[in-house]
Amino acid sequence: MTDLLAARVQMAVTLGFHIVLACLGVGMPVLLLAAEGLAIRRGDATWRALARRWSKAFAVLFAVGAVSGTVLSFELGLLWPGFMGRYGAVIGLPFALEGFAFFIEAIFVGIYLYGWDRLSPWAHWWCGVPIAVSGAASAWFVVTVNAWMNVPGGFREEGGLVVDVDPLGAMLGPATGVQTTHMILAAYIVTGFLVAAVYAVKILAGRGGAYHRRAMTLGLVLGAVLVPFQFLSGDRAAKVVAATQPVKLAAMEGQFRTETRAPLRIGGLPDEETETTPFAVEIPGALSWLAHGDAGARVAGLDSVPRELRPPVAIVHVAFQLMLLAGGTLLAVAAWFAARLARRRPLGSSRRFLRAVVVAGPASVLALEAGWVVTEVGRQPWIVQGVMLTRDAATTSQGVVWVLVATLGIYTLLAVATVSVLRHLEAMPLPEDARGG
Amino acid sequence: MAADLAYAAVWTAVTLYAVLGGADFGAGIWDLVTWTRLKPSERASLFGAIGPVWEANHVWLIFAIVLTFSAFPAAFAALTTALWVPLLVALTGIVFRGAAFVFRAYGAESAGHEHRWSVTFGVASAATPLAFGAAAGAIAAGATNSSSGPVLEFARPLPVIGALLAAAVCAYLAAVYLTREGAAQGSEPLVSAWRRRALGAGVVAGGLAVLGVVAMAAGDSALSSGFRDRAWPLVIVSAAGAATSFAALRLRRFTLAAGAAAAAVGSITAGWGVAQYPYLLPPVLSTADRAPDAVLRALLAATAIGAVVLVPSLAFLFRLFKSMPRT
Repeated sequence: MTDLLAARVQMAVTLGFHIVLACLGVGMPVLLLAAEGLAIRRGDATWRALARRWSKAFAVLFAVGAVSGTVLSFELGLLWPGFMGRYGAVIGLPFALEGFAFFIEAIFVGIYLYGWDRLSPWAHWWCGVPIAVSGAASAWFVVTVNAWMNVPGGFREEGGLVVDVDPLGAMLGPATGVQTTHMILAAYIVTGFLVAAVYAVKILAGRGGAYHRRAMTLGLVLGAVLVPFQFLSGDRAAKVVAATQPVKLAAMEGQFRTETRAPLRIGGLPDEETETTPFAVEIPGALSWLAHGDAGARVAGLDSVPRELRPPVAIVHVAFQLMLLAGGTLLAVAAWFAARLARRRPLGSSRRFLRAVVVAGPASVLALEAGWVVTEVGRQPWIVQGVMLTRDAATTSQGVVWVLVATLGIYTLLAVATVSVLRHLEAMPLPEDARGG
Repeated sequence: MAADLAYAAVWTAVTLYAVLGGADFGAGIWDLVTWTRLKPSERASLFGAIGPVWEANHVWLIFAIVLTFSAFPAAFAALTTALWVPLLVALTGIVFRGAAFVFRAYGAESAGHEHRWSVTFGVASAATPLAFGAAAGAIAAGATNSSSGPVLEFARPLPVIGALLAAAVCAYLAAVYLTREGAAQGSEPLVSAWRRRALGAGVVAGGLAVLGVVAMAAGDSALSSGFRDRAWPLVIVSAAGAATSFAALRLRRFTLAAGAAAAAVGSITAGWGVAQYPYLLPPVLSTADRAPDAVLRALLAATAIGAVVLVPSLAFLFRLFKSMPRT
């Protein structure tokens, strides 16, 4: 394995791990506030038990998320010194603002987790609000940097030097709005469906109490309400990709040739040798229409750039298909949930519905990870689109492969331990007054 | 001007990380070195003390990193390359310290489980300051330039002294703060146990600091001349702070002791920044290699605005969990 590939895999693994925790860090405070608010307003022991239990799970998730996020902030320099050395200044402002958001988050997490008995109920509730706000703000600032890597702006290069940096302009590029919206929605959706799935498993196993039903319903409400908006935001994001990163779009769609009336390909496996995408169901003109609002529009293909400037097409296309498939599954579960609510059917009474909710949990994570593969692998071989190649950014230090091996071991251990601690928390007996039917 | 302010902001974050985050690592070091002798009440006070604040204290490090790569990207790239090994060790320590803390706190109550994560917590808490201290010692000894950028050497006296000094300083801070926590709980056994440890660690740290001064004076680095010409008043403040903390512990003025210990560590850390100015990696990279002024101004504006939210929040956190009960 080359050092460059090892560095890329390391970044992918650590980011792919952190993103799940980051989503829960953004989404869990919203569920916590809902549960605690209901507990206080109604004086309800079940909601209170749920809020207390979730705050412990959140403590674990937040801590593991904080350390895995710290790893990323170090890795920017350790793995990609060429990138940070050259463009650190351009993207410094959003990182600094994210630093503040994370700071506020960490402060109020400490207050929230350890302040249950030191603050009045509503004062404690209000101390959860900054966690939710700064979590979403953190996500916004960090994804701003990624949007800049996709569509860099706010600077010029002159004689090999970065000049005329406009920090706000760099932050507010054309991809920023759509990418941050897509990611923050994803964070809430992943949280909602993961939480719902955990409790659907419990209910299927015969734990039919109000505690589990309410937990599942709250998760489903958060996830299901937002899924339709995620499709709208995804459509907007794809249109921005079409306008600003045509090669990424071509890879997402397995579109090798530049053509008018480009078809939308569903499924299929791109073949870089023959430059075709066999086994796909093609809807003529649909890609042209989706990307540019006109079924006759011209869509740039991978042939618009030399081979060495194309991303690995098969990975990007397949990841994009998986994201859509998983997203479609979530939409279906959301619709089913809405239908059951509309017809006032009890949620726990259909085992088929509960099984669908169980599937929706992992499906939401699949959509999340596949989406990141699309945006990151789809930008290759660039680390900063059109400006810096990934290979020119990578570290020249020794032993990158061994660091990767160690990282894989450490992250496996972390994942196993995190899940085992969460399972232990879940298995603890509920307080007597919270067990009601 | 903007670069100088950014330099000051970086060192402020580093100093606060040393004073606040250092104590959290120190608590872990005590958990490790006194594994068989720490009473359950002592261990409970130790974990209770760091629980609400360690994550906030940790953010000073993130802050220092982010400010460095934003304001001085070339120095950041050179530092991360030259410090590849100690930073990887520190990072591994940070990961396991944080993870082990919550796993221990929220995991199964079985003895084996808690023991495993406690040991992990202790080892990781020691590894991080050792690694950062070695990195600091290597920077103190000075970098040499090679074709692929600045290179730092670790197999020499200063990095070794730096590593041990950092660990001892963390242990000293933790023990002083924990003496105060013991007093806040009204527990005389906790006070006397942690006071004894505070004095011991303080003496070790002082001895290592003298060794460090000797080793630095023997070499002729930019840092040693900076301390000699410019930062010496802060060294005096540091020594006075340490002495005051010892006296205050004896006199049962625990808040004064904690403040004096923080001043002792903070002034030497800040003094390092003063002595090393304007270099980030002496003698190779200075504040002359900086981000464009527009970026620095934006960063400073963001820092000023952020501080307006941050300072009251931090004050609330510490008032809630760290104020002494009124008697």
